[in-house]
Amino acid sequence: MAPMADEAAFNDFVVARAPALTRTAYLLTHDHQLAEDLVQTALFKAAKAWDRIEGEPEPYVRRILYTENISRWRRRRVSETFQPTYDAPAVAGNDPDVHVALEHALAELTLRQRTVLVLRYYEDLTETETARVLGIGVGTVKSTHRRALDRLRAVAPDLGELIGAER
Amino acid sequence: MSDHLRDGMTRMAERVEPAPPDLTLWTRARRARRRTELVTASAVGATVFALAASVGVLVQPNPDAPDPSPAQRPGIPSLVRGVDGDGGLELETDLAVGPASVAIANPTGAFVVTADDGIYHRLDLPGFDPTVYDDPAIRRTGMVALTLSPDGTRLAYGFHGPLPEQTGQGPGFVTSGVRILDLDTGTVETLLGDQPLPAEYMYYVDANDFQWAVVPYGIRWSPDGRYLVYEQVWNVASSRGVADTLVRAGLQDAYRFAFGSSAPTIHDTVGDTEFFVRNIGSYLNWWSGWPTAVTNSGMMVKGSIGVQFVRPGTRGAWWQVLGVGGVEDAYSSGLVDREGRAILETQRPSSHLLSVNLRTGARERLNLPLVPVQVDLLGWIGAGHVLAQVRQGSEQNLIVFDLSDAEVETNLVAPFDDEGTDSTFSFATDFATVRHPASDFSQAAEDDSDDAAAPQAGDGPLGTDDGGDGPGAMWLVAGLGGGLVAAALVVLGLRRRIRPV
Repeated sequence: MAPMADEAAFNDFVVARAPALTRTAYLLTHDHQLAEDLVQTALFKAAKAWDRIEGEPEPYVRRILYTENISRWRRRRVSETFQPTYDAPAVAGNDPDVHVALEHALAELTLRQRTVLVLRYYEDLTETETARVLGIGVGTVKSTHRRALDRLRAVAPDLGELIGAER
Repeated sequence: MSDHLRDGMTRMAERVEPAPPDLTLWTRARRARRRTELVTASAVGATVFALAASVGVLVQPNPDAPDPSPAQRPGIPSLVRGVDGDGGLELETDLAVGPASVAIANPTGAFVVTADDGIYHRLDLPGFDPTVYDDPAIRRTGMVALTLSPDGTRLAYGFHGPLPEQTGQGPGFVTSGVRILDLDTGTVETLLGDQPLPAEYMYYVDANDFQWAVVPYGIRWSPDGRYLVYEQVWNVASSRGVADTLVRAGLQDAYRFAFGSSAPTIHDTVGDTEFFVRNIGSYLNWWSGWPTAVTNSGMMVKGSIGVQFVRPGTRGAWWQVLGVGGVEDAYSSGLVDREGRAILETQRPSSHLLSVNLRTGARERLNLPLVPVQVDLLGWIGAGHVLAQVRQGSEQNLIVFDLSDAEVETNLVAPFDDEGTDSTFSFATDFATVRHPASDFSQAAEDDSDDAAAPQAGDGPLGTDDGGDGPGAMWLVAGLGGGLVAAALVVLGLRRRIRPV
């Protein structure tokens, strides 16, 4: 593809998919600014390798998104633990308080645990697909997933209905 | 259960209002890719050198063979990144972050990379003003806003008081000086803080002066970390010039020598064994004036007619002038080893190194296998080996020079990934050795998981030279084979297609 066509295709992709990528990034980071930075980084790396991507670019960009988020955490070790500012007990159902409580509870997870949950539930990937995207074993996905749910139950017992009972 | 969780996450995500897409990404990414390709080419060159070195070991065992241990240890990261803006980092007011291997300044702040873990920290340095260095012309000179001590435990930087434009009082004197942050304790010391401010301690700001000159510049540590030297422009009444200051770090004990371009012959001694020497002759360029080399026993300064150095045990009249003549001796950086051998870098008539025996004056030209725009010799890291910061075009690299031969061999330690962040870098040279010039922190294990580390997109180490293990034939064969495979992979990597997962 000619360079100009590459640039046009990339810009079309950015315009079309950046909003969705930003939403996913927000779930991973719980921070608007970090989410936008993460998407910028992923798109930047995708642009650098654009002419080497075979097929649809979005899976590649999303993989960068996930791995870069974990890498960013590893580099900086910035505590992403939210302050426990919510005291109100959550109520199951579609109550907005439940989602606020869920947001806080997700923030209590490690980054990898949160990433696995986002991939499994928000992105609707199977365990095998999640393992492939993150470059880890299926067993690791399973154990991380289990620990993530256990931790959610521990930090937000009022979300029991949302999360499900312990097996 | 999964439906509930999915629904909750979806609602969370829907609350996000994405920012307008950045359509400059493509241009910036292509520029970065060109830089990456240059670094890759350097890595291939380094591999070739490693192969050549391996062959050499067949004939003679190499005591400086790279350390085969893959264990992570404190050191300079094998990939040094610039910081864009605040880097998304929290501003740390507790400055006791521990020894650092790299200090980074950009137009918005100060950062260090801790040596133990390669983590970036954004520091709240009292009085530090990164904006005074925010000029591409200044950055090209190699002037850095932050200077790490060789052992990485202290960070020196210039500070200044309120500027006239900040006080609204028009041109006037500004208090400025040097501060040292102890990275172990978090305490900040102002040098000369207990003494009355001398005239040259203050800077008169007017419209014709360089903004950067409001703070001390060219700050360098002696290799043992006992001394600090810096230069500062002063402007007092009708007099104007440059003050060089040698400070015994931490003792509030300074020796200041002032001179102007019209009266440049100044040299003196400090105590019985410590020496401070100023060049004779006028400045060649305004950026070439600060001390070229600081040793444990003195310093060496370049000038238009040569370089001066005083040997320990002598007094002022015993200084030597190294190199005389015109622009050929326009040295831009230099080092002195314990045996009295000076290594100078000059760009004229072409970029090369010059070895000068300070006792005899004998000179030898050392040819570089690369064509750098600028070389800043940072420090000795072993017999005959120098750690240098090299700029080639838009690329910056940390490179080890092997000076055992007139044809200098190079070994890429760490490429800089500045990515247009306007960052400047200072390195704690004690962390680099010939056997272990850099540390790869990308494989650090996560604290909370017993899982294997997840891959990092595009973050692989570049150019580290850890490899073989001594002269054994098995290792040689493995090293040669591995080197060839590595070179092939690097070349193929440029063409590898990416398939969606």
